[in-house]
Amino acid sequence: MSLRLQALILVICVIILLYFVDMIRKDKISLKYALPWLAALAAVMLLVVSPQFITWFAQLLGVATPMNAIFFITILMMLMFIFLISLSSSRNAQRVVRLVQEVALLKKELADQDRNRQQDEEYT
Amino acid sequence: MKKLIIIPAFNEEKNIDFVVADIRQHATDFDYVIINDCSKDGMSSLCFRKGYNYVDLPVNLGIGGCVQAGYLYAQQHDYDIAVQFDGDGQHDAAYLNPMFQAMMEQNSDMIIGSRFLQQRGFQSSALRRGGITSLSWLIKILNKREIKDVTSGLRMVNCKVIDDFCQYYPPDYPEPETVAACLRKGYQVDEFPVEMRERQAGQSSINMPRAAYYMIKVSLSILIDHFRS
Repeated sequence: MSLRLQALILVICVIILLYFVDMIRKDKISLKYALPWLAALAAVMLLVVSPQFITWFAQLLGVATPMNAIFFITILMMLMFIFLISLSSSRNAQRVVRLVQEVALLKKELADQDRNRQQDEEYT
Repeated sequence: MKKLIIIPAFNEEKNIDFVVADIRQHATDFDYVIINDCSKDGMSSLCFRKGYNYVDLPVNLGIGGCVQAGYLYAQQHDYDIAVQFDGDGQHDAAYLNPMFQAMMEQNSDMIIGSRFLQQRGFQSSALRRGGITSLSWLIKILNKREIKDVTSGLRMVNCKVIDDFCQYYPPDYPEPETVAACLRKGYQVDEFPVEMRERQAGQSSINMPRAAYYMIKVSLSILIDHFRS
């Protein structure tokens, strides 16, 4: 990897990092959900600064080509992220259903009370 | 005893008058509530104009969430008995009192209006009957009790089952899974012979392309239910 490429990737990473920090600061993404992305960003930066790390890591895993070790780890992490999103999306769906039901029943209760009051007023 | 008819309805503007008139005529000692699942037709304004007792869901929840809202209504208003009754005019309100009598006599926790006990009235297509039979067979293997019409939407339950349904109700295609769940929990589930009509207007929610998906999903949900504790 040429020095120029390393510098370029690092700059891009820093820009993304700043963007993420800004998003967290403005409450557009919660720290909890940003954390895995920040970790991924840190991993990329580590690899750019010291590419020999991946060679060592590939040897540790028993993968012949370091590039394949990167692919393997990346795909694994992506699948994990997607699974976690499925999990939180199911939970959110259940919460929304209960909220909608409660809101609907409360609105019904209010409408009934309103009608009863109107009827009472008509009598008096 | 307070008895409630829960009518889940999605785009049933053309049928709901018929359904309510049927109930007012043939099931006089039942209260009813229409759960309007965010219909796109004029359901909501029609119910308001006619002064029907209805709940408007602000977001479309699908059949499971819609029916569960009805059970929540039953729970919050201290009903002893709740019966699910389709908003499309397939069910006949004249059966509700006999069903209730049978439920009291047999001490059932859940009683299902079944098309297949006496084979009269609208019987559905052969393919659908085949699907229903295989689901019924699956439930029989797992729970050692044969329920013939596991997909029937006409079911009457007592307050124990109402509480359970408020806790958890499957979000889609709930009928067979809830039968299996009730049997697993040791509730007494019985069937009562009824005739059903063909729907009065509009479309059924299950069409041919969805049938395979339906069978796979429902079979899986029954299997998974068996391993809940």
